[in-house]
Amino acid sequence: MNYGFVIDNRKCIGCHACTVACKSEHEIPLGVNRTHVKYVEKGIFPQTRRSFTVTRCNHCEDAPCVEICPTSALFTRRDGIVDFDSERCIACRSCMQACPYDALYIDPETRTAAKCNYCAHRVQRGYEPACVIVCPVQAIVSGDLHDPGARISTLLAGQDVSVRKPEKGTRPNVFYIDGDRAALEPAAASPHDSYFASEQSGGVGHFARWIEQKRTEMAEPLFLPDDTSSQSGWGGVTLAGSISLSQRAVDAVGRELAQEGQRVYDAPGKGILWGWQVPAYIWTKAVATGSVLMLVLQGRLGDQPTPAETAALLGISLLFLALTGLLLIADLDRPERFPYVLLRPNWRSWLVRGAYVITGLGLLSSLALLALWQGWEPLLTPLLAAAWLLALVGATYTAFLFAQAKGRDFWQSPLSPLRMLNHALIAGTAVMMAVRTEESTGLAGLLGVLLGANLAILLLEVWTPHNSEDAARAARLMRQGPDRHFWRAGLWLGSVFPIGLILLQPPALMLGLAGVLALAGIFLTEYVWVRTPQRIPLA
Amino acid sequence: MKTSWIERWSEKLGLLPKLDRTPAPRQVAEPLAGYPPPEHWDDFVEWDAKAWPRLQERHYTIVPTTCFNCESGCGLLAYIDKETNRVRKFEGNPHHPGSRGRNCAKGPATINQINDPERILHPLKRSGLRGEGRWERVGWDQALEEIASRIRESLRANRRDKVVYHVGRPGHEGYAERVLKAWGVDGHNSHTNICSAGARIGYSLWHKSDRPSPDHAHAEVILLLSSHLETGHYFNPHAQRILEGMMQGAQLIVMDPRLSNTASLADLWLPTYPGTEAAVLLAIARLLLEEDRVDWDFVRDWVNWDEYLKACHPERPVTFEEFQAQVQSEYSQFTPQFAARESGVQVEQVRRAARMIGRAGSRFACHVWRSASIGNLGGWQVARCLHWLSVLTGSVGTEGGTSPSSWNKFHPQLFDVPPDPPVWNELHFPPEYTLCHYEMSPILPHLIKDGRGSLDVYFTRVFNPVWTFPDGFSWIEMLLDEEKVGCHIALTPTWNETAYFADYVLPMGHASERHDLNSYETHSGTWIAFRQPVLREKARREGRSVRFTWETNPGEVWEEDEFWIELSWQIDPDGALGIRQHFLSPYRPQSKITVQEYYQFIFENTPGLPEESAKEGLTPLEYMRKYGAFEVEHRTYRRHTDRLSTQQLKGSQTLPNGTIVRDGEPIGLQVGNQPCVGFPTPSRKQEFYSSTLARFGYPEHAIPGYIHSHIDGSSGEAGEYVLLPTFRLPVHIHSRSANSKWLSEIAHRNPVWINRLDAARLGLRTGQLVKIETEIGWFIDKVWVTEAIRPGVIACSHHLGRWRRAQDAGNRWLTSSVQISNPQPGIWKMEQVSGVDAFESSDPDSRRIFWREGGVHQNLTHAVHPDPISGAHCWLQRVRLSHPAPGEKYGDIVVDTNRSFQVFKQWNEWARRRETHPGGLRRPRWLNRPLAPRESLWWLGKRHPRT
Repeated sequence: MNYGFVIDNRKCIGCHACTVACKSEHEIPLGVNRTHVKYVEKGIFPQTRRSFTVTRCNHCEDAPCVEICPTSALFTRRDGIVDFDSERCIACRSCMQACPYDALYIDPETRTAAKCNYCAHRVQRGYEPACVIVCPVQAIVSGDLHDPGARISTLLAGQDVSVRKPEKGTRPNVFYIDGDRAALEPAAASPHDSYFASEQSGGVGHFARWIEQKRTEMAEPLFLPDDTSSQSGWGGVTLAGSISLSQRAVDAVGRELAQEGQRVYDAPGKGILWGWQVPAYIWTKAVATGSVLMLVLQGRLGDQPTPAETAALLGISLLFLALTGLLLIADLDRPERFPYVLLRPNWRSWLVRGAYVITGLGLLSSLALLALWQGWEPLLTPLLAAAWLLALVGATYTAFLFAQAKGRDFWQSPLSPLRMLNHALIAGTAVMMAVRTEESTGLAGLLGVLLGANLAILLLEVWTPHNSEDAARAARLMRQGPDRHFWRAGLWLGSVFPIGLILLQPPALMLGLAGVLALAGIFLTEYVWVRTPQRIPLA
Repeated sequence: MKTSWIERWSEKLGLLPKLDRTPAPRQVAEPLAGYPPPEHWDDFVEWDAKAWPRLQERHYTIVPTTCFNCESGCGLLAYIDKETNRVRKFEGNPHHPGSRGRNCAKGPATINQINDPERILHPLKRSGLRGEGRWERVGWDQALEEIASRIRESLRANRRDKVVYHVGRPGHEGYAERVLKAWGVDGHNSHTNICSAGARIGYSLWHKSDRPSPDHAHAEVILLLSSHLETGHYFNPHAQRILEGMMQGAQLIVMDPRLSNTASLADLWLPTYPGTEAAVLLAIARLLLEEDRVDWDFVRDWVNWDEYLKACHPERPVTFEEFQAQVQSEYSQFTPQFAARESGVQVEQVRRAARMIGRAGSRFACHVWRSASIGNLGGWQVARCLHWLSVLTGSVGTEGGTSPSSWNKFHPQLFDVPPDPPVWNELHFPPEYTLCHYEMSPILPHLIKDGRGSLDVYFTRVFNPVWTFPDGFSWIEMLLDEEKVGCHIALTPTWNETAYFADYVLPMGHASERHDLNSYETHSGTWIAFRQPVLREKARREGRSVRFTWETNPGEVWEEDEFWIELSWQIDPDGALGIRQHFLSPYRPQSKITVQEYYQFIFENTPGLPEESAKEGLTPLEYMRKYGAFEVEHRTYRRHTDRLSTQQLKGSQTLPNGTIVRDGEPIGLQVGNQPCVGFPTPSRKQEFYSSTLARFGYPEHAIPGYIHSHIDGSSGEAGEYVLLPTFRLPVHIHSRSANSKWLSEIAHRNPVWINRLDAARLGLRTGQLVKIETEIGWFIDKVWVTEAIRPGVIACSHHLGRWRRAQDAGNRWLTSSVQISNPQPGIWKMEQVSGVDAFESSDPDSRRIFWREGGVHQNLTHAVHPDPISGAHCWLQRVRLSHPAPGEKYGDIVVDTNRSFQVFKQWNEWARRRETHPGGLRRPRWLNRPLAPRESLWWLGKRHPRT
């Protein structure tokens, strides 16, 4: 059994009945939708046409949201329905990064992820989903794709159908008859912050709490990718244009991508879901893992750190691991459920694997510190070796988590593990430089080399051809979009300038500055790497 | 789902809360069903959607009712939670023949209206000046008594044209009319003349029925001068059937200057310049005639061509061949080239439309509703011309054709029919508007300002003219003047801009909180549906006794049916006024009728219903309570060919033209050797030539023709444009959706649509402000640049721009906060103080409102344009566009009501100049008039022919 939907665009009249019936069935809060109808207009008058596209969870056979979800709050039922359990959800929003279709949202009521679940509660009792029965023109057809006699199968057999983003390999189970390319492909008609009958001035879903808390201060630029609501919205100020700055930036870089149509209605944008906390945690993690990596590497290179230095490095590592953990928890909409990551684990999720690695690293570092303190010399070496291995994984696993975020093309870069490892090494070297009591130009040289490698990796990631148009757009947006200052600062202040400093062989204080800049560069780069790809619309 | 050992152990150790995830029992029924079967409606069990996948059973009582969010009356099933005794949700009623279980967005949104945290729950009486916004809660007894005594006073003083019930959304079948008759007042007013009057008179002149009933599902070509795939009654039922037809190969032609959702699905979109639709229709007629795609048999038998020849070509022989020749030359000027020049659509498109229609033959379905017919001076001719195509193709009353509405609408038999009112209300039917269809409601404030009368007691019922009607400030002026409106009572389920200016605001129930009977011409067939208060019905099923619906409604929300009964008894406490006798139970002598008995009588007298009910061992009332709907007739084609019975023919005579007359009244038509009922016109035929129009002073318009609209000649030059202010969005309910958060969420702003070329010419970009000047004022709105509208035309959705002043309550999902000032007599200004904003309420969603623009109330700046013939308000406005001056802001509105009165006088003058009363007749006897007064009053003065 395998439930799916056929959306028959020959019939859809864009009435939004499905949207409202769904809201009613599931009592969905304002601002978020499990299904809605996107309107796209094409053509020059009088050859103008408006198409209506019902969007929702695709109930993918290979659902990336299920894979990435750390607590198995999302799961695939035996009948093919991708369902969810809000009581398991920690609201890390990974699923929202993983879904290529923007089907998930954070419910502001429960503060957990939600999406269309095919009205599993109805299906279980033998009734069709609410959107199916309400549709005036029966344009939404539900049924078992494995049942050759079902109406849905007859339709699929007899009609040309398309799916959204087949290249993602998710094998969607929502099929469109007369699917409109301009509506199915997000880049073909860009999103705006106002449409012909609607506009968005405040955050929704995950960001709804900001209006809930301080509804008078709506200028907070949290909701839309670089919104203009402080100028738009209200108060009689003439609008420069309804297209938000970010959108103009996107359009500027994507101008060569001819817009195939104009999006004239869509659900509100959910904004950037992983904010500064995520690059911050990558950064603290780089420091934590890099310290351990450099501690061991330095020893292997024959320059054994002193016990005091070892203790300092382990201490710094532990401190930054703790910060990493705190940032991870702080970023959750349900922070109190943080233990679920470890205790309700979905082993396929790199978030879980990473959490175990970090926990393990913390344990080993603590034990090593204990061994050092107690003078248990024979234990120290194996403990450090084991810690080194975990630090290696700890430094890079986020790249694999990002790769599981199938929605974000740019994050699929094969160089990401290398970049993160290099960042950890840079951070470790900088920490080591600070910790070393005696002069070591060798470390500065190493830092210079690592920064050079970093520069190479960054340029490769951004400038080399990309495997998808969205990835290429993200890369262009990094260079020219609203986050470009971070990108440039990361590049120049974080890499080029410290390399220059090191090459000048300045006094120690200046080398220290190079180290600080290198550390700052890591954050700036990761900030852009995390933030900018989220500006590319998924739907 | 299998969980890991860590989780299992953690739960056992108490580290984690234990999640009970007992798998739900596997459902065996396949494939999935749409709706629960009625045998489960008393206890339907469903898993709670929010608790899922935790299994939590919800037990529901399912009660059918009907939607009240437009005129379609689609079926709803209320799911009442047995535990909380509250309606949890609304779904469609599969037993409803019109809607067949399906709904538009407005159906399920009913739950928002019920649960609106700002709804009015108790009767309110103003405690300050009228319009000041100060209210005190009063009891129903007090409200009834005070209102009754005012009405009694008026009736005793024989001021029978001063007690008025003005209804926005009726949603019932003759209930209120019966009440008004019982009171003996000519007090029915409606919203018809801002809506459908143009189309109504156009259709009526052909065959008395004032609306079309297209059989879309079986058509081969569907021509819409409407947007029935997104709006209008009967949106959901018609959209279903239009798509059904299209999936079976029907082609859709849509005429609309704006790319509606409907036009978007059309095989052929004709974006005609507004007001030129008739020219295109007549060009199609010409092509049909020219290419001989005409059903001449139908025309010969069923069209009054002889009257045309006699009147227009008296010198010619009265033969059908002569008619065929004359009618060709009559329309010879309407070449496709002419139509293309007028309308801006291409010649080839006109030809293509004609070819499509010609091929469809008798399977040609069409509809004009609002749109062109309500937009333009002479818009009524659009309906005349459109129906002319139905006549030419012989698709009147056929399968796949278009029937008169009366064939598909059921007229209930009421338990008591009071006599016709002994008064003619000249504020509703002024003498100069002899053919208006119907009440001249848009100019009520102007007629009163003109000194033509006043109102003692004015009920506005689900009616919001201050907002919905043109020139709202004139309405405010009228309502503020207690000399002109003695007492204003707003009967409404929700706050609205008119209720702010009431003396009493009496809360009335939403769809699931009231009784009504519905029957509409949604397709070929006839049905009735029963709107019922679902919690009352649930109580009844549970054996609890309920006297009044308000007992089971939230707060003290009443329903009108019971209100009218109670009020009528109060007006006539001792029966001396003869009113009370019309509110006595048909079952219990001398007792007050109950609302149940009222419907019991109707259902017992509905053909077929008693028999159908008996099959299930139910009474007709029980049947309707259970299923909510009943199909009276299944297929209703070619009713005009029904034979007259010998009984009917008794004492009749057949005139030379075939009309069968009895007692001076035409009753049928001899076709061949068959006496048929024909159509209910004076000739019993389709009236191509309207002798009525000719007699009432408009002989030049007696046949379908092309009248140049009042906006004809407006162009994009010099910033002058035509404003199309009437287009609708599929999710809104005129002025009753600001209480629905889900509908407001989808649509909340109404920027002005402007074609890219015009925008470039004016230097306007999307999002910029533009000033739109009308004859009487101006407003400022944002610009929406689009390819979806004809150059030279701008459009603004009529749903948005709801407002409230600082002192007003309600509807904050969609109302902007405004300040109104009246710096000098006649000059009114409105400024938006703030847009829509999040607010605190019992519903946490009110804090999550993410939109701030609530649109601009454009109607305030529209002058009234009463068409001299149809009486319809001609909505299209000639406007000038400019950039706002410094300091002018979004939402600013300025209006001069003195100027608007002048515009009224000018338009009114056109009617007065042509005012004609043949034999002293106020209006044609045979055309419909709601609440028709007694016969003698149809003649002006004392000129009744029989007196």
